Amino acid sequence: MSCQPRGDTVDWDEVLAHRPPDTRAGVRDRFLACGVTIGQVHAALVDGGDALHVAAGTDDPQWTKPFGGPLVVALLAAEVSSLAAHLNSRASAVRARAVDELLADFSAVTVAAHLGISRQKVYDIGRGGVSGPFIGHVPWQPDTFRGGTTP
Amino acid sequence: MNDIIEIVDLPDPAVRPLVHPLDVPPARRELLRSWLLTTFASPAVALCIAALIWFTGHAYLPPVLAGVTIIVFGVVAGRWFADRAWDFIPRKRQDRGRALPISWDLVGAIVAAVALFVTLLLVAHRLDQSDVSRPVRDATLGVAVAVALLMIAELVVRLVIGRGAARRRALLSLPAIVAVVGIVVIVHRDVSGVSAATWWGAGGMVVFGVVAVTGKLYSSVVR
Repeated sequence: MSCQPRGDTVDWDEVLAHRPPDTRAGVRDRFLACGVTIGQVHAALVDGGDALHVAAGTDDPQWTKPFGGPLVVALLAAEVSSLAAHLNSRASAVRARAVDELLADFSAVTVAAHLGISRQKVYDIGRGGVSGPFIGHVPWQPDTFRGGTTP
Repeated sequence: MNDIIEIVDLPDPAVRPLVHPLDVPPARRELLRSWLLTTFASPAVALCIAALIWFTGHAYLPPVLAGVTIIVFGVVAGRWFADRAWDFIPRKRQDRGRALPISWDLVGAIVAAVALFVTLLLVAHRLDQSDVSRPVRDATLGVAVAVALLMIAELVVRLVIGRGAARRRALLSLPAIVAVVGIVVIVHRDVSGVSAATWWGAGGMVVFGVVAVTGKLYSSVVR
């Protein structure tokens, strides 16, 4: 069972939606140079890297063969990392906005105590980081909340 | 937001809606630390320490390094402790406009005046050495007298045209005036007369002072 947006037509821009637009061509070219199909990349991302992790945990010296070799595994694992980093930024932006609203009504001492962090860290978190655009839904979920990317 | 309780013991919003760290004891302690740093690592004190270092060493680099380090440290550390003081107050209730108590400002003015006095004393002692020519010594005395008179004139003007709190704040310049007048009195005993250089020094300083005040008035009017 695989969740694919809009049936079977998945293009590189959707699979690499977590990457900045100007880097997607380079990433795609690296995958194509190794003979990696768009379906392989999508499959690696849709289970969050589970298959790669299980294969890498075995003692089998041929563990990279099912994927197409160590280089392919390295590129796919890097893509999973990139997606995780993007989700991290997305969650940080949400947290920043919530913490900023908390700081308006409560002292930094109180907010820090309830979040379990130091007082100085509270301001850093409230300022937030990257502002987007972020992906609207993760690869393993259908597009139920909103279509496309959120600014 | 009924699941969050404010940990800090803030004044009742009905009684005092806007809060300053002075109103909250743990915040007041942090604010005091910030004030101590900005007062004792102020440019006046840094200049005094730099002058003392120069006086004992006679090289130029150590005093400059020491002075710059003290000022930077004072600004950075002072601001850090002030931020820690405001940690205790929610942003919506922060009374950022309130001034510090005038007693704090008075102590700050006295500390700066003492530092100024020590610095000027060292400068006067250096000018007293035999390698300094008479005209230079006389001109410097003229400048010092002019500065003292300008400071007194500014104080008088502020007392006359100001009212209420502004008048009290104008009196904060008294310690520095006492320091400069004290130096003039001490140095004047070693000077045997008023020469042309004295008038040049005094006159130049007066012109400079008038230009500076006019510039300040102009910019405040234009804005």
